Amino acid sequence: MSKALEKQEKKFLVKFILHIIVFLIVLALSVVLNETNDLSIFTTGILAISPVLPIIFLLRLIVNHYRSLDEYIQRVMGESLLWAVGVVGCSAMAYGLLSKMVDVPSFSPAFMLPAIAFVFGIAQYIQIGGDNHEE
Amino acid sequence: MKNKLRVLRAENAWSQATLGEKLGVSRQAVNAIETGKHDPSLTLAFAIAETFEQPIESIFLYKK
Repeated sequence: MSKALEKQEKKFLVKFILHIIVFLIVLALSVVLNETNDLSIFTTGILAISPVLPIIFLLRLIVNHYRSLDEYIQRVMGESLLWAVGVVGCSAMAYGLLSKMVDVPSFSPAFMLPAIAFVFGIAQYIQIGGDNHEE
Repeated sequence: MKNKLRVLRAENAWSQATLGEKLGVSRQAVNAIETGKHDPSLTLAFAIAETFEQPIESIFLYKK
């Protein structure tokens, strides 16, 4: 990786971690405030969905980072995202269909995004893994 | 599409990282082009030709 790209990558990583920290703080605050106070339904609802806000900013950061990447990495990221959405989407659909016929533990949709991010990471690792060895 | 990127890079004694830096792309991108895993865009192909000071058709060989 060139020095300019390396610097850009580090800057992105720092911003990414900061967004995750903000997300965790907002998540903790929303849980604590909801559990310790007797709030109105409207306030409770706003607090419950508030952790999504830092994730939206994180998404914007990722999209801006994606635009700055070279064409090959963009291709890898695009294909990985397709795999991630496909695998998680199909799994969720299969689980949903299964739950109609069989008693299965309930699954929170809140885990969909982390699941997509996890599969996206694995797909990227698999795709780019072979390119890390210089011949 | 076949290409002579690896040969040209070896002739100049450049690493994939060095070539990547000259082209403004990642080392992985250079590796993917060399191995035929990725066909570069027209812009990148012209940048490669300019870097090696050779006509584009002498570096990239179109084959169906």
